[in-house]
Amino acid sequence: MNSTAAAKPASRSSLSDEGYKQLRQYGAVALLVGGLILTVTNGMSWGYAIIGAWLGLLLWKPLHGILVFYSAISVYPVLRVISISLRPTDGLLSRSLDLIPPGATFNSFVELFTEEEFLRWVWNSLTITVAVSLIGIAISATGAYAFSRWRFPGRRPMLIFLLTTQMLPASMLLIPIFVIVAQLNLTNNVLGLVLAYTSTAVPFSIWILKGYYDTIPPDLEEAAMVDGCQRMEAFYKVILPLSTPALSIVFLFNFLAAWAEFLVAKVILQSNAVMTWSLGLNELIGTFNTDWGKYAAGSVLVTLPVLLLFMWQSKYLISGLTLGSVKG
Amino acid sequence: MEFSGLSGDVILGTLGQILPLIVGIIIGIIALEVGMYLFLARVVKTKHALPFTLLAPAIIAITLFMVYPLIFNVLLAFSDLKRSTFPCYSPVALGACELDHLYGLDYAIKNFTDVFFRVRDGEILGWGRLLRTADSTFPVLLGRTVMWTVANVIFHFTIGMGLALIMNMKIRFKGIYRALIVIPWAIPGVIVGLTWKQEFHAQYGFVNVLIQALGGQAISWLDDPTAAFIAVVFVNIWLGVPFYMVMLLGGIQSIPGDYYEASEIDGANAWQRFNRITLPLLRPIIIPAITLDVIWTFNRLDIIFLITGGGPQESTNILVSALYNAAFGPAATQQLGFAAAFSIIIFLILFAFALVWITTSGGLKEIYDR
Amino acid sequence: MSRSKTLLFALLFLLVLGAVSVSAQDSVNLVIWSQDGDANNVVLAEQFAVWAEAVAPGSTLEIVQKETEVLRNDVLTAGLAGSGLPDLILGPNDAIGVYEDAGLLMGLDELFDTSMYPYNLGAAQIGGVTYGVPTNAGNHLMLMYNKSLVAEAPQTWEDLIAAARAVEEANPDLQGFAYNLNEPFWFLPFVHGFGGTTYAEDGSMVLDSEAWVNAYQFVQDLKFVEEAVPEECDYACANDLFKEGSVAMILNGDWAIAEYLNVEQSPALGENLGVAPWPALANGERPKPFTAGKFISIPVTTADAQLEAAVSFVTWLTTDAAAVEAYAIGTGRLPAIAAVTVDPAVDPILAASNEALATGVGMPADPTLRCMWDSVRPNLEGVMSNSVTAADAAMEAQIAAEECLEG
Repeated sequence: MNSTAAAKPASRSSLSDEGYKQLRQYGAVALLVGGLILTVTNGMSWGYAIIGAWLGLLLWKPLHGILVFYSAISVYPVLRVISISLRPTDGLLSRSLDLIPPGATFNSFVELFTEEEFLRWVWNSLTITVAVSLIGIAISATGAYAFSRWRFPGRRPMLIFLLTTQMLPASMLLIPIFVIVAQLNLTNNVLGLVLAYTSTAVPFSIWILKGYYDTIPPDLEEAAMVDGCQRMEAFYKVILPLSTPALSIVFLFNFLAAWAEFLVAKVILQSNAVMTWSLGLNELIGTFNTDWGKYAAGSVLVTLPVLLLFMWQSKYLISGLTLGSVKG
Repeated sequence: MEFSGLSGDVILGTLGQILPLIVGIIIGIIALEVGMYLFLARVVKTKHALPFTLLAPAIIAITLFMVYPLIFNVLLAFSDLKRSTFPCYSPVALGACELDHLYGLDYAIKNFTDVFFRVRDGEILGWGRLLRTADSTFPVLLGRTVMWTVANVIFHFTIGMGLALIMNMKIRFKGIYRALIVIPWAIPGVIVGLTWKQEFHAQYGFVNVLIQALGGQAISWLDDPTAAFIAVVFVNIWLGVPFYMVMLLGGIQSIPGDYYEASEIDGANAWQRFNRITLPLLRPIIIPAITLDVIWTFNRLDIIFLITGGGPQESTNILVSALYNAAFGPAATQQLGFAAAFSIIIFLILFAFALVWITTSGGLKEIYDR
Repeated sequence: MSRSKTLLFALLFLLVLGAVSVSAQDSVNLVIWSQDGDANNVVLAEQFAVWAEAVAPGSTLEIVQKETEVLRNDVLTAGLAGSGLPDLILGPNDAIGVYEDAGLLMGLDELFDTSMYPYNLGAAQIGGVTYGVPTNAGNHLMLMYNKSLVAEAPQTWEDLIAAARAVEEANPDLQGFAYNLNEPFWFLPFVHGFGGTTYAEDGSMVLDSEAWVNAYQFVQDLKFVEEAVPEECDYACANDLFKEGSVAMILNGDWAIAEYLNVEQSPALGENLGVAPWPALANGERPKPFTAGKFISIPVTTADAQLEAAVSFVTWLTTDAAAVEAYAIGTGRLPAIAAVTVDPAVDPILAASNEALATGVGMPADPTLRCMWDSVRPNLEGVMSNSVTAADAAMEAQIAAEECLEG
């Protein structure tokens, strides 16, 4: 009922519609067959078949054609990384577009674990990331609640300041953050990074959470308070459970940001023992070695879990970010 | 037992660092909250005791790692910190300090004018170079930053909106498409940057291989200034579309269907429905999304840093990457006072833009006035 | 002569004794920031273990690898914070000028016997004070070739281009020649070969002399007229192609030799690696690479037991014949002390590297050298994308350098 699909040209020329549709179907089949013929005549280069099939789809079902095209653009670079991670060491630089390279091998993965301290990097990143996400959410959830439910002096300037923090150029913060962390004597410790990341994650988290709390009617807490709950009890019992989508979005955002960060980490972490994967992988293709195989293998391993988490949460993403912003 | 750098000891060691921190912070927060609440409610007797208490941890965190750095930078901009005056400012450096004062307005004036002009003996000789090429002047970099931001935001928005509209139709495999299209959002920026850099390689990157397979001419993506700029813009567009698609799709889905039904009865065509219903109703989503996107894109450093490093010929630098290069890059001159002034100017430009944009669009009213 | 040797041994003995007496109470944990490759750092760690076992059992050395710019920035940032500096810094000599300027390095004349390093100590001396001791001599670029593709090292650039063409004609999948095209460190040797320098005789920086123009023209022609190099190539590209046998000849530095001799890391090389001085230009001169070496410096914050241990270890590492044998020769580099020499019969690669070293010019530790690197880089990029003429590049670089020197 809320579909804009009614926009299709059908409404105007319903008579020729059937014939038109059939014509497009024939065209699609012709394109597919044409692609296949070119593939066979060009020594089985499947590129022609793929292009033919896609053009056919575009003609037959244009919307699917567009979505397939965009999905391919989104996915292809990822598939490429997977493909590079499977290449044998003597074929890393190759002009081949095959997704499964000739002589595919898991050697890069094995070497990543045996020759590098990959597990340690991932472990460090994981502890930092989980700590940041948890502490960040604890701090922002209560802060956002204050912004959402009370009118207190300094509220507006503070909210604007939160937005302002997003405008600080990252390189502006690097030296001061290092100075703080060095003075706290935390440069060879994950704590410094946890504190820095948490603080940078808080403003945006508060923003999102506040927007979400705003859509929850205050009557709900008041009802709970009438039942004898304290204000904070009402917050924990009523607001937090209702905000699950927003909380999980904030968790996801902070997780992703901390998991992938490297500029601050590069400045702060001064010890191999606390190296995160982003620094480790960066080093694999730095000035000294250019180990594309191991790098690609590592990229696949650190990306896949987050990717799955993200795809699994993609439904929540939509509701958590925008629910309630549009008032019908 | 140790494997790949990880052993029981390492795990225990890190947990030993992290767990006390989490527990400590939780206990600390609770203690702080209780103490502060009691203090505010009983001693100061303010009626805002609870909200202030709830905000305290956030304020402390933000003060420590955002406000303090900001003040630190302002202080640096008022200093004459460079390599030769380093001993004056460093607590450990050897050597005599030859400055009669460490911070002063005179230094600030010099630092800030240096961002814009080349000054010699009190005379302005023209625009100053922020990096080493003649084109690395402030207006050129600002122009490129605006181009970068506008191009990105326009493409983010139009592609994201297009996809969201399509995804809102009755169409099969929606879940699969959505999951695939959000992928770029979930890939860590470091990996995106370094992977695309390799894929833009003139000889071995798939971009040129594809172009040549389709009968085109290979392009030296990273050697040619225009091509390199297109490449970084493309990657950043690729990265940003999912955010818009998700935001806009969420918004479109929450528009009640009867709005469209009513307008259809009035005889409105698809464009009119989009223009009169979808766009206005999505305003509360579009305005904040664009605001955030402008801010993030304007300040986005990693993609340019990783793919071109600002080159070739410093021609893909935007303001923030020029700042990074001036402060930390190969061409860094260790003039930290100047770099701090530069960073403050960048921040002020963005701040001024945001102020004008927010007041004229009124789009953030929702956020702070509700 | 013998007296100074005795004195030296006495000194060493005392130092070792000192270190032992330190270790009698505690072992030390040292941190070194190293701008050196993985393979070389592995050897450094092994050498530390040898030293520690003999002198201070239980001691550890943490080697934190940092790229050139990162190392420079991190040292300065830590210096500004006043804490977080490592105990030792290992890097090329040109950063020493920067650290010294900032007052972050210790003078080493009192701590080390500087007469032990006859070749390249000057590259780490500023105003007569020594700020770094060399772990090796060299750090110079030379011609490296794959003997299975090119039998003999070309002696002139004409030969090199011909040899590269022959390789490409024989197998179109291969590259004849490649190097780090846009990096000034690879470009300066050409300038020197055409008779140019960075500093004129009066000490001023001159980057637009005829030699500079000729050098820009030469590399531009090499790419666009002779088409003797790939369209796009950085360090990683040349290095990777060479290791997997896809390019016949490259220009690279002594730091890479160990990696190329290791068949596991470089499947196509090992025995096939050939090393030679740069081929001569049409004027008969060979391009002259910058030479210096890697140096170990000590930041001002290193003190007490840490300092004692650091000095003891570095002294041993850089002057003990066996240690130098392992750490310099073992990593494919040339010794910086007279007591260790390279035997061409045993080690033809190092002998060739030594020969290439002799063609080089010393790299000054002057911090203003940065202005040259930074001013040349973008203009070299312009020349290598054929968007700037050689003459314009030289002129622009000069203007940029003057602005840079102004500060």
